[in-house]
Amino acid sequence: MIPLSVRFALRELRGGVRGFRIFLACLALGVMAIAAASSTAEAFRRGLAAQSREILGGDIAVTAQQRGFSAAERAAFAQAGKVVYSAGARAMAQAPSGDRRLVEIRGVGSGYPLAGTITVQGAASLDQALLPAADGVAGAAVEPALLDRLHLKLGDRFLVGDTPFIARAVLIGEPDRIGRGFALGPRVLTRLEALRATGLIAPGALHAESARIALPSRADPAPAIRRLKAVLHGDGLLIRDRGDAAPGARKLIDRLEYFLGFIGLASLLAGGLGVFGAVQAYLETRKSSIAALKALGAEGALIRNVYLIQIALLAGLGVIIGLGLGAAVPLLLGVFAAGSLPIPALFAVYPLPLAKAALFGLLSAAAFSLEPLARARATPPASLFRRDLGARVGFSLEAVGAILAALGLAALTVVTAPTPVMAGIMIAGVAVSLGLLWGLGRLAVRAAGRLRGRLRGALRLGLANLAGPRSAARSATPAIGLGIALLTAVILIQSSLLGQIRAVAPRTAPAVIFTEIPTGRDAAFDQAVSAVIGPAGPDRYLRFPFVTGRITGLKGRPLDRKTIPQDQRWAYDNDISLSAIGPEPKDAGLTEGAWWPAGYAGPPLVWRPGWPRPGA
Amino acid sequence: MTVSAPPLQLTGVALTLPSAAGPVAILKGVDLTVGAGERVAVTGPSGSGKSSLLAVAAGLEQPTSGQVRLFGQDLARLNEDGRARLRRGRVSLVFQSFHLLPNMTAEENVAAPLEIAGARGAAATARSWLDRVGLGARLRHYPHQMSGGEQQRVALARALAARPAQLFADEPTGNLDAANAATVADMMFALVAEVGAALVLVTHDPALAQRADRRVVMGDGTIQSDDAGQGRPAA
Repeated sequence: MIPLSVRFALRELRGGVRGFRIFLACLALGVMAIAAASSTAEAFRRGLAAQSREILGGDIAVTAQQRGFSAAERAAFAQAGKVVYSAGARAMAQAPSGDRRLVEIRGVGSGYPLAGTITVQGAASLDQALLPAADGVAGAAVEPALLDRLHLKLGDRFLVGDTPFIARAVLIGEPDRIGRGFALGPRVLTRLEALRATGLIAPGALHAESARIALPSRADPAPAIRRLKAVLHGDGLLIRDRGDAAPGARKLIDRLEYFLGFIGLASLLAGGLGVFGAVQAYLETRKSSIAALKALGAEGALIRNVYLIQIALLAGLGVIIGLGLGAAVPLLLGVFAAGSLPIPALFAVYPLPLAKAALFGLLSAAAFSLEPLARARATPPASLFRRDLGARVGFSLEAVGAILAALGLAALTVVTAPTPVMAGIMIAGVAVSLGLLWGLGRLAVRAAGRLRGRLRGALRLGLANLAGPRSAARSATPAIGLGIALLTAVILIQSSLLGQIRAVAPRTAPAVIFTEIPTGRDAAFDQAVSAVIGPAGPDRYLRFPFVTGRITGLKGRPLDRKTIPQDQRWAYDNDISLSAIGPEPKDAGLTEGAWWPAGYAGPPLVWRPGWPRPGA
Repeated sequence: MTVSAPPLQLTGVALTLPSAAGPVAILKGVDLTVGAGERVAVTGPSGSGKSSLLAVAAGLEQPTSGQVRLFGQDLARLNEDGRARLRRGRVSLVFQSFHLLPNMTAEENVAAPLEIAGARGAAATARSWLDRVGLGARLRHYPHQMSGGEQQRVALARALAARPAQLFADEPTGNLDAANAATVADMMFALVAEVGAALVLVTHDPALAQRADRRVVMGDGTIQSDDAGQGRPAA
């Protein structure tokens, strides 16, 4: 036997969902946004995970900045598994025509790639492409952008530094490209020995060397890494395994998912107020039915359950619509844009992101529907005689449910956020905004009530409606306000970023940057620049020493990474750029301390063992 | 010999409602007792408090002061759910604007109070009562598919299907044309007599009031006259 509340609810639903179009739209849109963001992010995560070995180029990758590996390190790698070495540097490539372009040149050892396949055009294989010419000039596979920029075709020669190369093939794809991150220029791939011959990976030059290790039978990399760490003693070595193949891409996906998801959540909250209004308006239309049912002997709980079931069914429908649309977004992305995506993705329907979006939707529906349901439960049967008689609702079971659902929403937001503190701040911001907007709505109602007596005609009627007991201002103000606040925030962020790029960057960023100016040839370089741009004053031309390095100690003590909070380790895990300049430039942006005096001759500000002492 | 309590007993009932212009006294100390099976017509000018008296008597409205006893139970001692339970299956109402449930068919409307009361065979009972009010062919019709007279007959069937002990009717013919009004009135008096329910009938229609056992005239929130004990005209 179907329970009475279900029977009555199903009968009531025969009236159709016309009064619930806004309810359904609000819920479906918010759920769709969250489901689409989470499903797309999951598709990218799965894509990265499925190709993690290819992206890393093996099971373990060890990278050393500005130095080569020692014999002991190489022995340790060889003991772990099959090893392929590579090195990379940035340099200027020059065509016979004199055209120049900054390139990312990479030399790879034999056996590359250990995992995945490399795609080249114009040569049968990478080995063929990298074969030296008869006169010993090394072969290279180059990205199409370099051929375009230097007006080269396959078979042409070009210089990297002072070393000639022959463009033998077009480099289409390297399996480990994503794992190596952002490139400043077109990529050039050659043999490791050929790169060494350029002198670009000499001590002191900006370069990195890597060892990719393939473990026997693709074993778990963790024990091998532990063994390697026991033998190697750090010194700028970065060890990654295939689970951390593309940390940059993973972080980007996490943050993108969160921010898109947060926009979805904010729209769900703004829509939640729409849900509140829609439920309240619907229940208002059912008031005489509710009162009639009470007159016939129905208790408040039966009334609440009848409409709770209806709202739950409609919320379920809204969530299903949202999930369907949200799940379709990544599938459509897969159909129309899979070939042009920079990150591998496995587009499919993933239950977990959809479950998360559904939970957000249902909690939002509960948080915003339960209070109107309490009013429905408390509808006095006397409203059959006095239509405007309102329900008096104290602190009720429904209010407890609404508060729990709101807390659940907040908790889910924090738990699923990459940075809980930021999520907390955002939630607090939304809550404060809602409170302010709610207060403004009430204030508007009061102001309309006071003003209406002083006005006439349509204006008076309009204000009277605004001030009346059924005024929409109380619920519409927060809903519209939050929606506009959300749009404003998105537009402001976008325009600030664009404004920064358009206005600030051209003002402060130099037009041309030269790096790797050989020591001892700086005066000649200055002369060459002056010959092109005329007298090179400090407002037009600056040359200064530049080194990169990592923080290995603080305040005279060696750095202990374990004591550094996770969210601050980036400052110690990445190379930082250090430069020196004479007098303090305009707009240096100094916030604390003092600039060193011109002609400073004290202890070295940047120095490491092995370097000559300043002035020595 | 046990003397059972009258179905309805109002003692010194007052009702004051708030309004924008200040509190308004609607009922000012009303005393009224309705015996089992007694049919009482309440008449009086608009605003005299007739409908409010009915709302208070049925437990839909709480009086400001005084006592309302329904089947011997003091309504002030019951909360709203308690009053709803007390009405269930024992008290029925018929309204001027019918107040049928718009998304339920005629059959479901009549079955609704039976279902709420947990009665078995609610649908069959509803069908038989709709037959009795001449709507056996309209079981699956929704209120908006029926005329005013038909809707009020459905409302009458709904009110009496549970065989209540007390029926309150607020201007049951007020929205109907003369022919329909006569049909509904005839049916109401006949069926009320059949189930043995007491009837409190609020009406402006003197002819309809004449068909009751007793006439109470209200004015300015008080009972102006009550012809209790002056004989019962034929229904």
